[in-house]
Amino acid sequence: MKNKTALSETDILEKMLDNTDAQLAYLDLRFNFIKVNAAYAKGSGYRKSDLIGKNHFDLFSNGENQKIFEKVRKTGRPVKFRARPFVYANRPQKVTYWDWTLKPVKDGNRQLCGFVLSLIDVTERRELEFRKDEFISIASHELKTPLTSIKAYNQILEKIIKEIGDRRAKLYIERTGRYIDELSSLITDLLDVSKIQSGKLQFNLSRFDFDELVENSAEEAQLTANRHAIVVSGKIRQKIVGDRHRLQQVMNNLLNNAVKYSPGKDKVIIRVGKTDRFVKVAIKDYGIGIPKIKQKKIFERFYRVDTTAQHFSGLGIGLYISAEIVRRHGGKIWVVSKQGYGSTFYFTLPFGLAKI
Amino acid sequence: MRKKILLCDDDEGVVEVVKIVLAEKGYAVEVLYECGEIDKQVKKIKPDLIILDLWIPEIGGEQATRVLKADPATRNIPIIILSAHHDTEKLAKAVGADAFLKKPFDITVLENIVGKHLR
Repeated sequence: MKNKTALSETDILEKMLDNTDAQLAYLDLRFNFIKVNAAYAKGSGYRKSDLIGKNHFDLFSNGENQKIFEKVRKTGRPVKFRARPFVYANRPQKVTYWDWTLKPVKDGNRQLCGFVLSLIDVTERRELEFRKDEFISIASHELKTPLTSIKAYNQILEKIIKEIGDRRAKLYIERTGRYIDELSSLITDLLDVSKIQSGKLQFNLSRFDFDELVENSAEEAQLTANRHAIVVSGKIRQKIVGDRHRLQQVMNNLLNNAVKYSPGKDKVIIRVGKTDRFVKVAIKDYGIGIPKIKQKKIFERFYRVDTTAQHFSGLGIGLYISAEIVRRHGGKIWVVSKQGYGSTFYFTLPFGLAKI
Repeated sequence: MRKKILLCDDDEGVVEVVKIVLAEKGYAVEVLYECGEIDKQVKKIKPDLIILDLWIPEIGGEQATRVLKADPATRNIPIIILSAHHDTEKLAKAVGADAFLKKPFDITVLENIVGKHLR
């Protein structure tokens, strides 16, 4: 026997719409409300019956939004905003944040007939994210303070040991120094992430010799890479404007990754070239590579390619920081990779830089 | 005469070790853990050089530098700003600091900067 339900399909849809936190509305081509769900009515401060048939912009006058709506009507392309600020007219002191989309709907003849408006309140999520970034900022600052003392004491010890002349002690204290620097750079990365998030990453611009920066980065990477030869090919023989320290950070990050993700291989190649407006750098390794579907995500914050077969340590923020630095310099960063054959990371930088 | 250095940092650990490093080099070191009324303190202590943490309590290393660099009685005393934020160098220089050193630092770099500004 067929299972009989007490509700019609329309009723079920109605129930579903009225029991979600997302605020949903269907508007006709003139932006009149045809249907709204319970969450939408509640959020708008009107009863459902008071909304239906009314024009969206008669009730909620907003020139900026009206322009966006009209553009969607004209182009037939949806719009999507993340964490867009909104201030209620009756509560001007409180800013709320919304993920919202306006999607055009077509009828059976593929003619535009209306729009689905969807609003999700993300104010709380945004506050949590803000608090988390603030926490990272404070935590990394607090970690750096004792590290300052540890590093200084370690260097004092290093001096004393050199005077005494104990070979083993000298070796171990030098190793400690290297790990202190590693820890310090991890903490700096964390601090940078929180700064990028809050839009406070600062740049100190100067004109400098780019070839020299590449050489320095290669030498530095060579110090810690035992197995790999870091090979530089090409020179641009031109100065560029940028933040030298930050760009060195990009090079170091890409080189460290190239070495780290190509265990058992013996070479990393840096190629430097230029066009009339850009410097182009390629860093090639012959390591494990990155699967196609994951290549886009690797520049996102906290993303790490899942490596269940082999374990690689890391916070998943190096490429995110590098991408931000390159982007702020007006350049591009991308990867070409084949799993099992290696990866080549590319980035470009404009020679002249108006402003970052 | 031994050169006198005023060190303003609220972290006991950092103060301790910087004192050791500077004392080894033969400098006399005076310490302040906060920089309220920094101008009065500096006029009393009469240091040859000041090392200031950027995040020191009361008015902050940034404001303290502004105050000292605006006062004809203290403006010629070199100021080295310490900070755990390496991108605050711009800010440090903008308020008139003579040098900037990010935490954690190499003690030889600290010695060199201090030496250079005391010459």
